[in-house]
Amino acid sequence: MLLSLYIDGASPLHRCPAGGKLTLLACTGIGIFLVSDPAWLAALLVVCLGLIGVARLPPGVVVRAVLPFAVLIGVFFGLHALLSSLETAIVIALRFGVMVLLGLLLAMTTRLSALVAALETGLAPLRLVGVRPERAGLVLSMTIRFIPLVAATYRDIAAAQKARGLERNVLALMVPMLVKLLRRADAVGDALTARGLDD
Amino acid sequence: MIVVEAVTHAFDPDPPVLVDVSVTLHERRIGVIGANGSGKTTFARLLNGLVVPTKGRVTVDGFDTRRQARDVRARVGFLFQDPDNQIVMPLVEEDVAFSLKPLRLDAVERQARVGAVLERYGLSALRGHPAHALSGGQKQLLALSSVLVRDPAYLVLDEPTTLLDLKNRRLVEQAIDGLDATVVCVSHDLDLMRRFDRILVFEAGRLVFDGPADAAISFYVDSQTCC
Repeated sequence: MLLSLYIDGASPLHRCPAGGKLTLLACTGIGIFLVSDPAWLAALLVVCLGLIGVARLPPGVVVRAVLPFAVLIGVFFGLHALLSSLETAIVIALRFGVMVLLGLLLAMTTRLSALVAALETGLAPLRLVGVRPERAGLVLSMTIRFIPLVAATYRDIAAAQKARGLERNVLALMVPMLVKLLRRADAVGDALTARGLDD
Repeated sequence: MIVVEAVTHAFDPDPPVLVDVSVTLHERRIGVIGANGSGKTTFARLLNGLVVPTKGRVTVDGFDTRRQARDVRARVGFLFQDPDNQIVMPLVEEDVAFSLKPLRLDAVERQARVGAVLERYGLSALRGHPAHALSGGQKQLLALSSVLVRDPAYLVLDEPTTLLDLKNRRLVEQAIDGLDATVVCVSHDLDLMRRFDRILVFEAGRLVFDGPADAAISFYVDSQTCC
């Protein structure tokens, strides 16, 4: 999960400004779709693996984080190999592989607060058209913060309904889930107000 | 000093949850007790401006909660029952630093204040940890740290130990004991309330007893057992 990916460290990548890393990720994300030579994409993938070494990230943690994406990339590879060509499948797999590794590098070497600050700085010009960058930053932070709480709420309700023999009843799961989440949203709003962060 | 003057509050269209409450709070430790639905949480919320009275007024050091909410909230911190509703940032130190955002401090001062408050509540070693991975007591201490980092003169606590086991309850109680701020604490925990200077007892929206802890708790226990 993204919120637990950051790994404290003092590598050159940890020290790079979050804004620079975000910009590089965005540029690579666009630029990579202009490259269709598998050799260049493979070289880029090797560079990404090298950057993981530079960041001194524990290999076990990186492998565990990559694994779900690897499965997804495998599915894409298989589909493209069947429906298109092997070369297209390789190109698609390499592109996704590079983006996943770069995304993980960003998440594992950058604190969320630094990412939020970079996002707010990046969105600052949009103030002219009424956008409030600090709100966008808050939305990002809170989304990440509340993912495990929503998951825990679901687990609690699912266990309670299972105890009543209603584990297959979608309404019995969704109605209390919705009620609990709306109540929590109210309570979080009050907490933000109480902390003087309502405006 | 917090002054509550002839306050009545109703959540329209329901009947009033508080009726004609007047009280001046200046002691260091003030407890608020009462049965469920007696109006004690609404009373606590009035003190920080989270609830604005339908009639009457509440002032904190002369600032009116209706018209000067920002000044009031700078003075009155609020700790909720469930810390999961109060912690809004993913990492421990980020949540504490988030409270300082409106003060626009430079990074060095911000880090110093965050470090000091985390040290005080034994959370220094956890500063880079995800908040969701903390124990119940640690979460409540984090929520408390996030409030106290702004150095409020008053702290309102709404049942801060209700969801905690004995060990975590003691952790939070020790933290409350050590606070410099004036504390107003809503709780069903009568052992905690015994340590307070003054207790307000609410019943059906009315302030029915206001006095020292032992007398107030005896009054409350009698009122709950006689019927």
